[in-house]
Amino acid sequence: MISRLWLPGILIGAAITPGFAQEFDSFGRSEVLPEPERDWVFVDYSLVDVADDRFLGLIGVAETFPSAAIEYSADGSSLFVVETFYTRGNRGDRTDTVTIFDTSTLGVSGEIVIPAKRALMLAVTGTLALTDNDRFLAVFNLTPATSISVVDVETRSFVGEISTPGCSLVFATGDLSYAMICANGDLLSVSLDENGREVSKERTEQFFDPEVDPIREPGVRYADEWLFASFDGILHSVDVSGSTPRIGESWSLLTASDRDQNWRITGRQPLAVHQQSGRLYVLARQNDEPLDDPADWDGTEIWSFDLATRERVQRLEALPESDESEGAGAAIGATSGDGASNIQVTQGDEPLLVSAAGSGISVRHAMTGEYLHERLQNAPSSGWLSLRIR
Amino acid sequence: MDSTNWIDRRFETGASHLARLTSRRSFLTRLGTLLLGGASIPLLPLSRAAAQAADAGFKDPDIEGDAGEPMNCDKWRYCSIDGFMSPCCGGSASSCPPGTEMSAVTWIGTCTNPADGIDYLISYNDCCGKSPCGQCFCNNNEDDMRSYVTARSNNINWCLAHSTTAYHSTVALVLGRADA
Repeated sequence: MISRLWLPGILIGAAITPGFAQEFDSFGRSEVLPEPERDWVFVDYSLVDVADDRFLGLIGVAETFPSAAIEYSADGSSLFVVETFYTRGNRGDRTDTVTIFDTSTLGVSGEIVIPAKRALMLAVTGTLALTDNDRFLAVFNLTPATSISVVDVETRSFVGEISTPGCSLVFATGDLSYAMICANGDLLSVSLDENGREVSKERTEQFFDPEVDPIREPGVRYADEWLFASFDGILHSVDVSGSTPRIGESWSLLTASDRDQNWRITGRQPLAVHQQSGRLYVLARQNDEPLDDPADWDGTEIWSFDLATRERVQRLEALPESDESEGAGAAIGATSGDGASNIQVTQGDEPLLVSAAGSGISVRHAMTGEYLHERLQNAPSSGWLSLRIR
Repeated sequence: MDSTNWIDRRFETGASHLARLTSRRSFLTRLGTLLLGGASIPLLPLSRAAAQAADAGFKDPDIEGDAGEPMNCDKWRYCSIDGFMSPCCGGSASSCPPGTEMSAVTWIGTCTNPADGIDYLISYNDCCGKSPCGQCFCNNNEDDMRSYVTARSNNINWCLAHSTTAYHSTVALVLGRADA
């Protein structure tokens, strides 16, 4: 009896023995991101460590459009996103900004007001481009007249607007140049001076027929090339090593046998490149009929190619989003639900292949295809995949 | 018809039909309350007034079955529509729902009228100024072009040149014979 009464007192006494100081939480502390790692990937605006399956933070964008393009400052301290605001929520006066976010907090650190003309459309790739010297950002405008707004990210100021009749979307092609895709299947090369002003505009030769076999918008940069896949599975390359873009040799991602079996290149984000190894990753599926828009159809497989030999070196299954998926058209925004809609590959010596379906993100070693995470637990279920370190 | 039934029916039609359900849907998902301001309109593919005048002179013939049903995604004049069908949202195939405004610019399709076998030009104007209707989504964009062929792309918010600019729904105006 006595021992039972005394026991709690003894335990309490032990907890407050001299020399032990209980630490209490301080109020108002917020995390700051450490130095970025190659395994960090933005899923739309959410930053995720895909190796560690860890949600790191969210870019503090204000607008509802979820898949804007992201560019980074040369020193990596800032990232840039274009936003559109109205004075009364969904109506009123419109203001467009290039909003600057601190990459260590993903919070706003500044803004540059640009003409309220930025294109509001499905494309992510091609809506925003930073010149290779990391100085001038171009924002694609559509009113429906087409133009670009040029912003100097060093002085944080709007430089001017360049009209680009007949040509849309914008891709960096050099220290002071961009290329745009024109409606008749050629490119417009736009050159700037050192202050970001227009020097010249020049059209390339036609390299595809938009009526017969259009290229898809989400191109990928591979060193000094831009690569675009066509509806019919042709990979087009644009060499941007010179002062004006040069159209490279195109080749088919599909063999004759693939075509016989109705394989097609699909997905919202169908291409990704590992720069160091020169491997191109591609989403593919079988479909009896040609697809009016391959973007709505998941890849059931992920193929990788050696860009030097053009040989297919891997065929991987893409995990479907779930057994319950009802497929394309089941809900607005749904893809076919039988594979992956977006792919990305991290850079460096140990690349990870990241693929997103409607309800989950898979991560595997890019070279072997071995899963690291069949499904991430601490990440958004789907979205546009952008590398934090390119 | 409610949208669920419509979706069910669409799924019964098989994969080749599903191939027509394409990217406008995803655009709308991302759209939310996304808006575009009162930008200038330097190049109109089609003026709103001209479109309305054209449709006012067209009498839609009686067609039995889905092809004649205003709230059915298989109605003949919806062959390239891509959005929420206006008749399900308080409007009609040729008029916008209350309180919305018809977009001044748009994309154009060509549909065959089963009643006379003639191809007609159809203007798919968006109804703008309110949040998405959410009823009877229909996506039959057979001749949709990539977004760099802007005048023929439905990956674009065609409320873009409007003062009240949220995407709400879409009409299908018959402009005239395609061979005229």
